[in-house]
Amino acid sequence: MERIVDRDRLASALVATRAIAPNILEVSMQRPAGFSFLPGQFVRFIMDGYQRDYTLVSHPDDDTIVFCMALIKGGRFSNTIVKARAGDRFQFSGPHGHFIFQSAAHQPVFVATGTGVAPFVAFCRSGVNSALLLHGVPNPDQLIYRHLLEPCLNTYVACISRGLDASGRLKGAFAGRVTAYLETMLKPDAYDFYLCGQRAMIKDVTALIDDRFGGSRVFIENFD
Amino acid sequence: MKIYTGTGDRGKTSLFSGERVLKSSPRIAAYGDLDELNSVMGSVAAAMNDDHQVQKEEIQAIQGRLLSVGAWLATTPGSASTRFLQPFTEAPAKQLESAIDRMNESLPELKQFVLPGGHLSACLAHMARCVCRRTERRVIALVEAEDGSAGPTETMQHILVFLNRLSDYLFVMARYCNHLHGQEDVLWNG
Repeated sequence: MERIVDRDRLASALVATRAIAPNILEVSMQRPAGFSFLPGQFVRFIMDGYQRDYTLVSHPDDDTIVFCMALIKGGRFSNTIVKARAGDRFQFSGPHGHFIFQSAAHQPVFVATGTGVAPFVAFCRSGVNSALLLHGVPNPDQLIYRHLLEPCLNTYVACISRGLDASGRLKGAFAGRVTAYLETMLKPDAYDFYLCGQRAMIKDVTALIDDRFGGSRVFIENFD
Repeated sequence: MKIYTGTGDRGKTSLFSGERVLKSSPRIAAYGDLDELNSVMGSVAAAMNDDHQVQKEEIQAIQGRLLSVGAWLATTPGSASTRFLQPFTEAPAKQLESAIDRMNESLPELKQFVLPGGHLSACLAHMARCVCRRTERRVIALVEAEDGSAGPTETMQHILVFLNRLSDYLFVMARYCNHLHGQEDVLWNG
């Protein structure tokens, strides 16, 4: 874990927030002068002694830095952001993290659950397109950034774990978890896997990779 | 930050550069020993009396270098992840040489073999020296096994020089620990 000290802190003003799915906000802030990052890296917001990490979805050259956040009922940062107005200032540090797109040794496969799709949005906006993306969500209305990712990437597969009826009406969607897709649909071979999402998914997918996709590389970003 | 991920429960782990490897592989064995060395070095510092802050900080700086070495050992050459690594140059080995010379100036000339012993910090420095030699052997084995793919050639050379010099440093540090804590070398009278 990287050590954060006061001199690493940056300040930024809120530009706007917008709902992009039920209980998911996209937040835009001014990019502080001199702040740069690599697609896939995250920033760490620091408020009243606690901190929250968010992967940036914007292009590194944009005037704003943008991230998406799942709203947590009663969550301190969620409450603060929901009530915030344009111009309100926030402190953060960064960029942090090593989850960047590598030169491809094998066919890249991006696997995300929920807002874990964020780094792949950043990859896509920076010109990465030769990848298969599996985006696992419970219901189709959680498929954030689909309009951007689907035309950008070689193959985009929405994996709908619960909303089976709805997924039946969603062209190209897979009814089931990302692990089920990997077990049944992806040909055993060596790939460059990029995993971002909750710990349980990452544990299950990594086990699958060890069993079915020997010789693969695995890059991991997990949520606590 | 949660410590456990569960991704290594079945005997494999991920390198920083993404490859899944057995935990028994030469690369993991090398940076596992490096980790052990770092821990023993922490014990050396912890065993010193509090009035030797300069030495404790020097050891802590070396521990930071060991983390850098570990990061290089966990990364295969050519990976984009190398952009996050600090260059490992010949400077750390040169700094060790300066520290060795500085400590030696305070120590009586060595005319006999010494036995590991004396103050606890000295004993731990000898233990660290042994672990350092083992780490060095593991890194050499890794370089041999990977046939040029263990890491960037120049970086690996600097790492090997650093580990070789660190063993010397730890030998002198063991004697210096005894000196700092008012104890004589334990001489071998065999």
